[in-house]
Amino acid sequence: MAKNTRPLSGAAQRKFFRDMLRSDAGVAADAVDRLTELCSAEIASIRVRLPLVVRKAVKPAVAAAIAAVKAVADAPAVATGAFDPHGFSLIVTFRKGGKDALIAKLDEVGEIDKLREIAKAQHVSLDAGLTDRAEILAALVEGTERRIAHRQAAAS
Amino acid sequence: MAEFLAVANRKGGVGKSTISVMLTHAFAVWGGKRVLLLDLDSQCNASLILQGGEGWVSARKAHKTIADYFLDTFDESAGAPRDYLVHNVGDVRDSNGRKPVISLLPGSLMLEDAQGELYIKEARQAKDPDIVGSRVRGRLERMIRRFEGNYDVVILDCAPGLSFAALAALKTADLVLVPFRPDYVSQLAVDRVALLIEGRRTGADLAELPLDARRYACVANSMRGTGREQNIFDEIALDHPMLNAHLPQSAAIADAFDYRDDPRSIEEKYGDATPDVRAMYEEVASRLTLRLAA
Repeated sequence: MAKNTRPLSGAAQRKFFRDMLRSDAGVAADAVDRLTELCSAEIASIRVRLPLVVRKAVKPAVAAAIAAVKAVADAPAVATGAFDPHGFSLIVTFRKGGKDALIAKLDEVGEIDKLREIAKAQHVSLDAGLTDRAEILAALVEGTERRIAHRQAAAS
Repeated sequence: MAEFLAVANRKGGVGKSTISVMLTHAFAVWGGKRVLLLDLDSQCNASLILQGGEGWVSARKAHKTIADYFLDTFDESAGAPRDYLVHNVGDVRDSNGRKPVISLLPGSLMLEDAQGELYIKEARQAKDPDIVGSRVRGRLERMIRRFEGNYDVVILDCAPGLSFAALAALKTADLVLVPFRPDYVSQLAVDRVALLIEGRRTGADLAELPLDARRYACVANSMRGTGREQNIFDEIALDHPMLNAHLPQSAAIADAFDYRDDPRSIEEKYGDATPDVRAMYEEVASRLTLRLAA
């Protein structure tokens, strides 16, 4: 077997599918989970070549999965909605880099709707009446601090 | 001398018994070790997985259970530990077709009652509840350690909560494996059990202890590969040592715990989850070796 290949199954395979799907900007966040489940359910094990290269000879189930991914990626309606609200953890970013690091990371997220998606997905309260971007960022930071405080309190 | 591995979490339903059994099979078959599992959970799931319902009933009738062992030998004057063990359990065979060396001290539905009796017995000697509790736990620790001469690995499948037996197991263990499910309450449970294992009062106290100096490691169970789960995994990893390996939510794993009378290979038993079980085993074995060398 070539040195630059690796067999994957189970959780590692599932993570590979998910990472691969997430790496394509054309795959919507909700499609990532759905396709990851689909691939994991249908495919027992795979052998991958890194960096990600689609092999010439693939099993039918793998080919079907790749075709499913491409179909989603090629669909214009989906391509415009590609965003993963779990792409980074608010708490991990805050804990590792502090408030400034979190604001900088959130600043990379373009639209306010996406910030709201992050808040909802990561269980941070965000007042629906807020429309100012700076206020939303501040609220996300505050909400992240509250989640950290909840966890610390629970362990006390 | 045996290495003691506890599998513990105060939260129920995180996979303590199933992971205990997986590691029992793995150490015995892949590691070629003589393995003993002590079922310290009155739900007795590990016992049922390893010997089936009929085997467990036979063990109870023969008074070969953890409750019998604790009650009979508490004063350390009667009974040999080996008399309470059931041998050649499990429904796997090794690569040569033989049954690996797996023994079991079966669980008992009466374990909580037995611990209550032991507390009352000890309370006749001392009044202070803390002293009584400490003595009971200490005696159970010694009773657990009495198996160390005859096995390479002793796996302690702990009950959820804080029984004397669970506390004794945590104290005895060279390494504590903490399974968790990637959800909010499991995250909080990991924080709590970590304080208990390391004897720290607060998260700040615990944070002073480097991750690589901790006596425990966490393992994610029932992962589906969602982004939310990955976030929770990353958040727990900020504060706790984690295994790189984790177990997927898998029909193969669920099916593996249905006891069969006809032994099969470990690969047949765990099906397409075998690589995950193997990866977890190899990491645990490696950490156990490192802990004992430290």
